[in-house]
Amino acid sequence: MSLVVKNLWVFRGGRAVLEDVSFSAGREFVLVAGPNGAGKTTLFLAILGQVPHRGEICVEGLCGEERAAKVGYVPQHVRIEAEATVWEYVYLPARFRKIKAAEKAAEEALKAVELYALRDKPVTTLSGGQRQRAAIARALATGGDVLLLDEPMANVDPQGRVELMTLLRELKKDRTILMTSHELTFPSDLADKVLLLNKRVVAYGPPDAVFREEVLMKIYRYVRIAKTPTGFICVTEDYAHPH
Amino acid sequence: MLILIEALAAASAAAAFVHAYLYAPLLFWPLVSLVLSAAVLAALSPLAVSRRMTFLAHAQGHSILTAALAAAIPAAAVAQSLASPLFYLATLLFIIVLNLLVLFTERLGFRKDVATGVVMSFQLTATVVLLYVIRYLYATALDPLSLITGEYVLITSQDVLIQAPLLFASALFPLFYGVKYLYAAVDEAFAQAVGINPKLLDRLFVVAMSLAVAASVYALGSLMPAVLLVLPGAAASRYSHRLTEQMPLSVSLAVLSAAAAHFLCTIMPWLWPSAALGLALLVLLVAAHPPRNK
Repeated sequence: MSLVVKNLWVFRGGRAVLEDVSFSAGREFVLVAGPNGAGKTTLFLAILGQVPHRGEICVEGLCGEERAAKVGYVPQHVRIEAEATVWEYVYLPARFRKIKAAEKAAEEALKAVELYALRDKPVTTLSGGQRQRAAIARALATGGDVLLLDEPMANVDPQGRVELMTLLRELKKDRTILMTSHELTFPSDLADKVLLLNKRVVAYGPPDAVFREEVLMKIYRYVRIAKTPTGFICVTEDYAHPH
Repeated sequence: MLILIEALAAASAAAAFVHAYLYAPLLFWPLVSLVLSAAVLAALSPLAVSRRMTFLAHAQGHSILTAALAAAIPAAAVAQSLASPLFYLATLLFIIVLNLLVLFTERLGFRKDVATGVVMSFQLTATVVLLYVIRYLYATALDPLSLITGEYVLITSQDVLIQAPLLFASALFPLFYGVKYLYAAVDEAFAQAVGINPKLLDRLFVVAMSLAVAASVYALGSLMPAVLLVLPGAAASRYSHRLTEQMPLSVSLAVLSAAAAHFLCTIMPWLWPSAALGLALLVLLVAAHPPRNK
């Protein structure tokens, strides 16, 4: 297994933010779903070793702090506050992490997300979707065996979302990808598994097994599930027809 | 563009040194001091600009005046002169305390600009008190105006020897952490994810800034270091959008301006060198054509 999380506890201000979370993932795409405050981002920060935690987290067999070098991360808010070129944005963190052949890693990552041609442009001039792709390239260049994507579809227009999903379908072939989302609408061919989180693991398994009304009703009050002809699973909080 | 500006800076600095050595020997060591101070302060400048610390950098003008006035009291009592290691060390000590006080005030829950303003208000009050104390105690030994404008023409090789280690120590931060700190300004959350500690770097930056400002106060006075902490970085960002070019560009522009200031003062002796330096930097900033794609 590429990622193993066992009995993970995270406390903040004396309160448990994550309670006894355990799961494992191989080379597959795991959608981490749950309401706001469920601990999705905290789970990622714990995997990166950025928050104090109890329990065991191993990435590619590495269970200490060194595991962070195997993890590529796309933060929830991709904020770009100062000038840098697309190349510097992707290459420099790989250099800081002392990645072997950092230049080659950055070049390949930029080609994978189809931004290599824009490498000399200021990253601030990219569109929302292009910025997310640049952030994914940066995550690929700095780690890449396990990718953690924290709400990558937020603030991206519909066209950008389609482009991102196409990219993620390519990337999931040889990587472990965990992607958080508070929206429960996604293309059904993308996620191999769904981790439903609400401080603790509510359910973990294939989308068809997790996205069932009786499972979702454990954390959401009103839900309605529908499959669209294009293969999207839409889970909506249904206020019109409460149970 | 970077290579052109670097070459121009090197050539103009060399010309200024040769001119000072051959035709204005009294200005040779002041020029050495000016170029060194300008280069180190300018290396820190893009860091202040990118990290949104320009207000703190400008507050250096107030901090350094307060610190220098406070340092002048023991210096004048012991040596009856500001050209002493005691003055530099005491200034450094006071400026570090004042700068760290800003970070401490931030921890009380104030935003960075408010924290800087709060500490600056305290400094302004202290400055008024210190000015009166100095006038009362050392009316003939010390002119407070020299702390504002600097004693450029009185700089000797001895002063440069005292300045050099402080400036060297200050330059270590941009040399070793400059690019990381600039990246933390681009995306702080991700910088943390790859092992950079922006808060620790903030503190080290403040110490580096304090060292450079304390080293420069005798030559440049208390006002110009603040200008050199902001203008070169701001100008550099108008010449290039490359993060890795910001520091070399900023230093080159400052050295070019220092050389220009030397020649300007030779032609117009009424123009104080540090003021001429600020003027040259302003011209370079306004003259820049923003890079393409910006």
